[in-house]
This record gives sequence, C-alpha cells and structure tokens, in this order.
Amino acid sequence: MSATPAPDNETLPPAAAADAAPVRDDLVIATQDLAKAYVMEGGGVPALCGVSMHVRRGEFVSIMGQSGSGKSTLLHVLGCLHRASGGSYRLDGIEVTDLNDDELSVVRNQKIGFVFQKFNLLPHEDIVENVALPLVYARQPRHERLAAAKRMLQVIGLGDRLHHKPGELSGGQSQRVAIARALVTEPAVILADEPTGNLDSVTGLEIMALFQALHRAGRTIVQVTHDREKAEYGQRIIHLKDGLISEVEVVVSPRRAEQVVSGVEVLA
Amino acid sequence: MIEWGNAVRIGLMGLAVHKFRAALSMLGIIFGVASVVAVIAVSEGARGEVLKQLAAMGVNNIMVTGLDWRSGGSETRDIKKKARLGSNGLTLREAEAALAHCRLLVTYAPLRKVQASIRSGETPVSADVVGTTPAFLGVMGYRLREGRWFLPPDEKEARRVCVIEDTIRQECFKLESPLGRTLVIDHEPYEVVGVLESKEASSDQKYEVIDIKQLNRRCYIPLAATLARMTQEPLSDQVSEIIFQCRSSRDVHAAAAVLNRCFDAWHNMESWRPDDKDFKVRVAQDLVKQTEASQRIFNYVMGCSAGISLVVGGIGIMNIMLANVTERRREIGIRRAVGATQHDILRQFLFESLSICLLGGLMGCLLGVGFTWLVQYWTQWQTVLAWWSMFVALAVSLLDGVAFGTYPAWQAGKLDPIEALRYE
Repeated sequence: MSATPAPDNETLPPAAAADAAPVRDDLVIATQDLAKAYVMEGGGVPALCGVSMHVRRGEFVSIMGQSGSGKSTLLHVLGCLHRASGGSYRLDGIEVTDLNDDELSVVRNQKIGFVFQKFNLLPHEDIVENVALPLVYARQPRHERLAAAKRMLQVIGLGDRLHHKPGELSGGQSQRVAIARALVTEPAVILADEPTGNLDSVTGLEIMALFQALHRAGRTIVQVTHDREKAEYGQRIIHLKDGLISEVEVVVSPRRAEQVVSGVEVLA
Repeated sequence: MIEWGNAVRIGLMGLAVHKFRAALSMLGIIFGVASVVAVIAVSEGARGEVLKQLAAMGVNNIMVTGLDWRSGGSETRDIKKKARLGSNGLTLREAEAALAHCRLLVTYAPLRKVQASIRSGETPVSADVVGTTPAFLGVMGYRLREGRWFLPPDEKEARRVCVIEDTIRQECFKLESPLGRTLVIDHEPYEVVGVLESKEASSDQKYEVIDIKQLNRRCYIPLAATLARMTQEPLSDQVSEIIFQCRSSRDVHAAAAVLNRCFDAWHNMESWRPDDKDFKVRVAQDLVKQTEASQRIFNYVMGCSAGISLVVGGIGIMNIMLANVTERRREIGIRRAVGATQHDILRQFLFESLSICLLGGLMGCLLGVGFTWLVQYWTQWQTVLAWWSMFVALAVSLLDGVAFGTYPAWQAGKLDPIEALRYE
C-alpha cells in the first residue's frame, strides 16, 4: 500500500488549507499543543509533549506508535477520559479542556463512541442492554433506548442474538456489539483502541470492513494501533514518538477489507 | 440523574450476580430486624398482660401496704425499726377511721398475710394464707367458681372456714369437689367453703410487677380467725394491707392524697421521706404507669441491643460493598466511559446497599414473626405483633443502607475511569 508523508505536521487541517479559509465546523477534533503529564511521587512524567492535530468530519484516521509513545494517552485525552495538563482541545466545536468531571461525562456520552481492545461489555447484562447502556446515561426512556439498541444490533447483523450474554458470543461478535454500543448515541467520533488486538486475522478483517463501511456512511473514526497493516485501512496515519507527532502520512489508496457487512449502509 | 426505576433495576441486578454473598451480607440486618420485631412483640404482649392483671385488681382501688420491718438488711432494718417506734403499723381501726374521714371511699378490705403451714391430709400444700373480710370479694371483683365466700358470721365468730384458689383445688382435690373437705392450717382443720375462679391474667405469674405472684395459690380465711389464732398478740388488729375502694376511678388520686395525709398523721411521719415511711399508698392506675416506665426501660435496653446488631449488620454491608466496588471496577470504568457521572455511579452502588438492606429488612420482618411465634409456642407468653415495629425496623435498616453504603458508593464514584478500565 502506498502512503506519502505529509509535509505539514498538522498545523492546519489539509482540507482547511486547501480551502484557504479554515472552516472550523468541519473539524471534529482540533488540538493545539496538547500536553499530558502523569503525577508520580518523584514529580510529573510527561506522556504527551504538545500534540497539535486535526480530524475532519467523516475522516478515518489511524494513530500509530511504539509502546510508550503516548498513543494510548492521546486516545484517553481525546476520549475525555483524562484531562490534558496543557494546550487546548476542541471536540466537535466544544473546548473540553475547561470542563469539569460531570460535563466531561456528558461529552463522552454525546460526542464519543468507544471501541476497546477487550470489548469491555458488561458480562451480566444481555447484549441489548449492553448496547443501550450509553442511552441510560443520556436519560432516554427505557423503551426508547431498547428500541434503538435493537435497531443498531440488527444493522450490525446480530439482530437474532438480542438476549444473549456477552459470554455466549465469539470475539468478533463481541466487538461488533461494542461497535453497536459506540454508535447508538450517534456520536461525533468513534475512538477505537486496538480494536482488532484481541481478534484473529479473519475476524480482524471483518471489523476493519465494518469500520470502512461506517466510514463510507460518513462516520468519523480514530483508531489507535501498533499494526501498520491495520493502520492502512484509514485515510491518514499519525505517527507518535515520545509524546510528539513525528510524522503524518496520507494513505493514498487505503487497503480495502473485502467483506462488507450487510446492512451497515443503512447507517447512512 | 438517571431514572429511579433503572437505578433499582441495576442495583438488584448487582445483587443477583452474587446472590450468596448478598445473602450473607444481609444476615446482620435480617437478625437485627427480626430481634427488633420479636422483642417488641414480646414486650407489647407483656404490657397487655400487665394491664389485664391491673384491670383485675380494679381501677378504683387504692392499696395501702404496711412495710415489714423485719425484712431487708441490718441498716434499713434499724431505720425501719425507728420508723415503727411511733406507730403500730396498719390497723383495722385506721381503716375504719380513713373510711369515715374520706367521703370518696366506699369500702375497704383488709388483708393479713400469715406464715402458716397447710396440709391436705398428710400432703403439704404450697400456698399463701391470707386473712380477709367478707368485703374483699366485692372490692376485688373476683368471682367464685363454686361454693360461697365468707359471710359476716364467719368473720364475727372467727369460724374455721376457708376459700381456696383454683390452683390449690387442682393440686389437692383433682376432680373431686373440695366443698366440705378439710385443709389443715397450722394444725387446725378448716373447712373449704368456696373456690375462686382462676384469674386468667396470671398465665404463669411471670410478671412480678405487683404483689400478685401467688395469684392463684392463695387460701383465704376470715381475718378474725387469722388475728385470733395465728398471731402472737391476740388482741392486735394489725393487717398487712388495706384495699380501699373509691367511688369512681376519677377520684383515686384525690383519695390517695387524703389517705397519705391520714396515715402520715397517725404514724407521726409527716416529715419522713416517702421511702422511709412504714406504709405505702399505691393506686392501681399508677402501677400501670410504673409498669409502662419499666417497660420503656426494657424497650430502650432491647432497642439498644437490636440497634447494635443493626450497626454490626451495617458494617457487614459496608464490607461487602467495598469488596463489590473493588471487584467491579471494570464495570465502573465501562459505565464512566459511556457517560456515567460520578453521581450516577455513587447512586448505583448506594441503591445496591439500600436494596440489600431493604430486602434484609423484609426477610428480618418475616423471621421476626417466626421468632415471635416460637417464643409464644415454647414459653406460652402472650405476644402481640406490632405493625409499627416492622415499619421502624425497615426504616432503620434503610438508614443502615444509607449510612454504611455511602462510603463504598463514594469510593466507586471517584474511581479514575482509566484505572477502572485497566482492572483485570
């Protein structure tokens, strides 16, 4: 797969640069000198040392880096699970660095869909309840959220297993449930942390196909991976090293996962 | 804030996952609540019983009791001896004088308790011998099972007749009629002329609140017979107790005050402390109050011990909830990641501890009913299940849930989402 290094280290979004006047509404993620240091006994340990990056609406971006490069920290900060210790971060037009814990919870609920490496489903709830979980905290009435969860599971191809427990599903199915959960609130961005890390290659491909289908349907996706091949399913690759962006690659012709999961197009 | 219904559902689900653990942690609450319910049932039953007994004594009655200076420790004996120097104790003359003096009084019945041996044939009988007058039956409102009560000639001629209570009849005469039979009291034969109906209040004489311990074990003989034959001073008219009957229950306190003044004057004890006097004036209604006061103390003591068990139960709940929070960190992380606020998590775990406590409280109520039934079955005590006790116990157990569930829930709420998600 071919990929060319971008000359600009994310000072301006490529789209905005092309349009001469930056259209900020087009940016789902915009960070400026984002820093994060962990407080330890012997003082602060820097994990991010000034990351400036942008993700446009409808983009599929991969973040790559060695372990310890800060990619997980970056994802946690982008996912509002951690607060940045410096810099600014606008998510879907909202400056989130100033928000308190409760407000960050609302932002996570409404703007972000998480997909984790270990699926992170609640083992004692059936999968409809799992998918409906974010809607609980969006204060939706029970019948509405169950209906939405069922719809999402049907779209994702698990409509016949609504009342199964996560333990009764395969890894690929579990990850699809997790993706359904990430989608159910119609978030601004889906953040995936090594989404295929716990899956075999065929199932991993299935998940990539699902991501690509969602991307085609207009979803914004940011995935963190250490696997170059998986990264190339996205349009751009942001390389991190020692808490800094070392390189931004534009993937000229992203890989295509052959399998297309039926029904995903409906999401558009 | 997430809706209550869902919070309850999540809380109960949390319990359902670890049923056995939840059940174990509930035990403290269950037994605490059960003991509260059972203890209150027993206590209420006892109160009802005492009230019944007092009703049997008559709400219009005032009891003047002479204190026996021979009993008690040497010190109090000396004081009492001194007290007795100025008076001859309670006498029939005083009773007559009091009746003449106080218009509120209708009649009186004197009692003289004597130490005497009783035999039925050759068999010794355990009973109290009490001398009294024909008025006693009416004053006390007792009923005869068979035969007759004393008549004026019995008293006048100090006849050797006796009226026995039901327990004595059962023990000495079994199925035969005791009328016309003889009991030997202090080596002298007394003819049984009547049997009193058993007083239902004394279902085993367990409550010695008043002097009715031997309620169904008394053998009454004419007072004159007692005074003439069983005392060392044959001319004495000393009695142990005088029961005055009042015109109406409203007047008893006024009459009791008059009686107090009279006996103070006659015994030269105006300046004595009530406890040091050689007599005591008691009103049946006041005994009810005394009983209620001692009942209250009993309730406080039992309430405290039940409270302690609820606190211990609460600590158990806290322990289990802390373990729960640690074990379910990942779940907390997931919920936080999808948008739960710290308050949502706090509320979820608080609901769980509340559910444990409420469920434990309900089970405790059932167990308490069972305990009460068992107590009644084994001891034959009267018990009364008080519904309010269950509400109180449930409320206290809910309070327990809040008091001991808040800290673990707060711990859960303030967990860092990432740390929580990393938990294996």
